[in-house]
Amino acid sequence: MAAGRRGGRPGIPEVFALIGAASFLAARFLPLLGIHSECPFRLATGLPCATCGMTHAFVALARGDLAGAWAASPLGAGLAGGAWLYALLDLARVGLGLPWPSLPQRAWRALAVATLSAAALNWAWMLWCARMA
Amino acid sequence: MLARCVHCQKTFDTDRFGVQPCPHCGQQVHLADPTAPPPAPPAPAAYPPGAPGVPWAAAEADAPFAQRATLGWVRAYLDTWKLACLQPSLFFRSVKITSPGNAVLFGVISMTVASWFQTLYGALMGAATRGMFQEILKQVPQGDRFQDTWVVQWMAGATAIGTVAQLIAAPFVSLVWIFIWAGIYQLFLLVLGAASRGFEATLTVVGYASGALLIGAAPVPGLANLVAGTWFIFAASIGFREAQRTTSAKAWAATSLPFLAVCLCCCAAGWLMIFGLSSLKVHGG
Repeated sequence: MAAGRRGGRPGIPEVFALIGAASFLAARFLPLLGIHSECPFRLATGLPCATCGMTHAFVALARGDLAGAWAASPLGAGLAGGAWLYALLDLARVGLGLPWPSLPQRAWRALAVATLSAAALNWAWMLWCARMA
Repeated sequence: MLARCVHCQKTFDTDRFGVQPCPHCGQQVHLADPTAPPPAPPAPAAYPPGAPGVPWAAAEADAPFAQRATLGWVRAYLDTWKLACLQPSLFFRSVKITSPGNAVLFGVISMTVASWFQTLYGALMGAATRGMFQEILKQVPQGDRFQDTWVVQWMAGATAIGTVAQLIAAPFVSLVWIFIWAGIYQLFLLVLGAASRGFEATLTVVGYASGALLIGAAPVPGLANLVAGTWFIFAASIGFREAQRTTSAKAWAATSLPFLAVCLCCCAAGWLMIFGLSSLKVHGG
């Protein structure tokens, strides 16, 4: 990933940090759950899709309801917490003038495999919970 | 010694080798030294052509859009759009990946314009669309839950506030969309071992390939977006192959796998729509 700032302009890490921060503001202050959008996959099959519960997890965690966020979607809770923590850390990094940490390609690949595995496990968990309910 | 000019074929006397002018025609002539050692054969390539990490293009160049200060915005945009969407293989093979900001701006402009046109069509056809949605929702299982909700109003563009909100939000949504999808593609590229040139290359491809989404501005609701999305996938797949110096199979896999998950939802939505429409026909008959 590109290093942080070039010529005073925000780089790729800062844009992702802004997106993370914006997701917190949206989850905390916008009436996202009032939209009543139903997942078409769930409507058709009665089963949750891979991303079901994400919005509820973000909103619950933004309101401090960790149990509610986990119940809605463990991956969503982890993603929300990770995104907001990343936004804070990157803000601190920029404030302290530190460079973006350079990770080797193997570390990035391991992170990617872990993320996709977590997504698959999350979906399996959601399907199991739906079946048990 | 006697030498012959390769240009005028006349002979002349000289006492040295190397490059020198012909005394008859004035052209530069290269006289090779026969005692000099033969040139070394080219070193064998460490990787076969096309392997990850091997620069395919002899020289990388800025996209025309990066030269908009000199070309002008419209010409720079149109030239880049033609290259990215009509000649993606050539374009992404040689485009510079060190300034993804230009690609992101290009994508944001394309998606924003398409979104604005779609919002305009939605506002123009608002009443008709709203009636159609409500009729369909009556036939869809649990469709009553959507009646008179934000969803119907938003899809129909029924409220002025909603229309203005869509217009204002379009560039921000486009920006987030490009970064999020670039991140998702990068995940799959990393897992497949096809991200040799890093996230900047992925972001550059997603940004410029998003130009295809401009097709969504065509006044054919639904079909225009379908064509735009398909075109985007084609351009992005070819772009990943060229910009990340990877194989076609890995590039197509990285592009297709995320969409399969989305397709599950889209197929379910399509099935619901078809089910709803067929119910309409049965009830109407």
